[in-house]
Amino acid sequence: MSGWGVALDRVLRERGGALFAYAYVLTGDPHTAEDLVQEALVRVFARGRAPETVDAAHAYVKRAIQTSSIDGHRRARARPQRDDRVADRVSPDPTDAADLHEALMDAVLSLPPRERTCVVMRYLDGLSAVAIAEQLGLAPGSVRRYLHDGIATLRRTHGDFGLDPRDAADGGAAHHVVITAKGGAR
Amino acid sequence: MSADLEDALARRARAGIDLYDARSLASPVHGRVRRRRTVRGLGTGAVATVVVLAGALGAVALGSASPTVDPATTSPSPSVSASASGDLLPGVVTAEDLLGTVGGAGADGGQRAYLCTPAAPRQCDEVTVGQEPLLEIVRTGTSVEVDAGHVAYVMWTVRNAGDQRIRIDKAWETPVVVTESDAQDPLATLAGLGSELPADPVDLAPGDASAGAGTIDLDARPAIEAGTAVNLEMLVPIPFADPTEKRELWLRVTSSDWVNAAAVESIRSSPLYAEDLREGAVTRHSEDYDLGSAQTALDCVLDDADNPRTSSGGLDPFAPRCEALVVDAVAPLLTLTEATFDVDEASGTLTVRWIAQNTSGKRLRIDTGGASVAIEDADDGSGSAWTSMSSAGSIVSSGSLWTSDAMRKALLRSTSVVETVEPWQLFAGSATLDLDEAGDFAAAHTSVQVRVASRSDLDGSRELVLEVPWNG
Repeated sequence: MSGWGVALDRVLRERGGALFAYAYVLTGDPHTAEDLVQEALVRVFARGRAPETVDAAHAYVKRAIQTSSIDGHRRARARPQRDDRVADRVSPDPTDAADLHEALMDAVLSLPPRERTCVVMRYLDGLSAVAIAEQLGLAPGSVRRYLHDGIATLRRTHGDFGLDPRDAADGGAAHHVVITAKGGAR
Repeated sequence: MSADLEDALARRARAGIDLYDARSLASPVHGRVRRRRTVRGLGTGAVATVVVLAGALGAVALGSASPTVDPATTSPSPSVSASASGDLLPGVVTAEDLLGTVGGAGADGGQRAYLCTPAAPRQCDEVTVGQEPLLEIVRTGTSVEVDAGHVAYVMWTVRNAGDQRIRIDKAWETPVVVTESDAQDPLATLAGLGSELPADPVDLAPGDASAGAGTIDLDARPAIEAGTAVNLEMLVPIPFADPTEKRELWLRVTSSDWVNAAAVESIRSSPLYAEDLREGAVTRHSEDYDLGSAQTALDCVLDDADNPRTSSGGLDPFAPRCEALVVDAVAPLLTLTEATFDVDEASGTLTVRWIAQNTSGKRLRIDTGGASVAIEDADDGSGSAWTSMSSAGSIVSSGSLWTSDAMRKALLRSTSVVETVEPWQLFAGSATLDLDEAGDFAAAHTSVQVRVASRSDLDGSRELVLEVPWNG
């Protein structure tokens, strides 16, 4: 098998689950997530030289997932529209963690693609606005605005969940640390 | 507290891992990657031929009007000057080589020259060097414009007419104006030059040309009115290889062609700014991708803070979505006369070097130092799925830069050098990209994005960027 084929199989075996899971968080739909990962893998491995390490491949593919997600053109029909309702909230039962998490994820998936992607990178990857901007090729000011607006929308439409728009825009780390866990790294 | 949101995202991720089916992903990905790599391999081979042919065709199409030229501005140097250094390169003609062939004044063949002492005023001996003319003036790259008859604005293009590389000193290329009733004396011109000449050595390959522009004060001479037939000569210094050599060798390059001096208003009028170009602009749509000779542009409205050029802390490049426009439906304001794509496999980089020319016939106020190279798949109507940009001036998209029917991405950088570029003046630049990110660049659409300055250029809330396609 070719060099890229071996590298691709290794990435699928060792990191496929994590990459798919990341796409699933961004899309909320397993079929759309699979399309997103497939597209990202093709973009990375169709290039002249395949990434030399699994970590590098993971980073490239994840970045492709993120940038595809913010454009979101291939999933336009499935894309949730911005919810401008005010105080029409889904009130989670604070005693039921599962309900709370489901409500939160519904709220996240209702955000426009850019806000949603930035929120996921901020709270799942723990990245700062500057680091997100660097990965997505956006201006830091834009990312801060997406984070601020995204969290503000979540608070306005689904309850505040203890979220602070200013913390969203200003917090986070400069670099993402790849965490190896069950099922792969993220 | 954001712990609930973090927990929700982490739980969703764990659920995703449980849903993952490696088998359903592996087969289609392998097949698609294999097809893409096969197509890419074919495409690269085919396009390598196309690039070579494009250069040849470009030379034919442009004729002597736009030869391979060296820019007249202080913008980043094109490839022709990249090899210039203080060391003599093998096979490059220098002053020592020419003095080995010297004949007296009026000798047959060869080129007239002056061998001078450096002290002011210079003492020069007229000689003839070489067996054939070494340099020639490109008629179509030459113009003389006069201001009230007393100041001449001269643009010239000098080409290597020989069959060997020759080193010239661009810093002191000096024009001499001749009319039917009056002629500058080249010796007097040389005597009046400064005694310490700054060096700017440039090697010209056979057929390569060097363009420049300058001003001649005619106050002490008879006025030259618009319409006067003018013959332009050039004095071109040829550096010595020996850095301790104090003498100077100047080639006198003459032309049998006469040009009519034009009134200066055409070039001394106020340059065009972004505001001028927006007037009369019409929206461009994605289906109008190939507009032939039209000049397209991108009109970007953004928050001042997002503009790397004006933002106090913003060093990162930014690619906003901008309204696509046609600012001139008839003719391009800027034209790329040359583009080279150098692949360095060892470092995994692609360097794109380009030379552009102001073909508008008007003065343009543009950001020659902030220009960018854009590489995209013009046939991908689905928009950009992967966009990579660098502060060094490149934006690469795996798809097209269109983000909707009438919106495209432009690259805005923190780097900015605004100049007034005169009609037909050249400027140049380059960008080095990651070869992997450049992808199948040879099959892609390459253009240079050049920002047009605004009258209030400190305001970064709106930018106009001209798109200059490479049609090679």
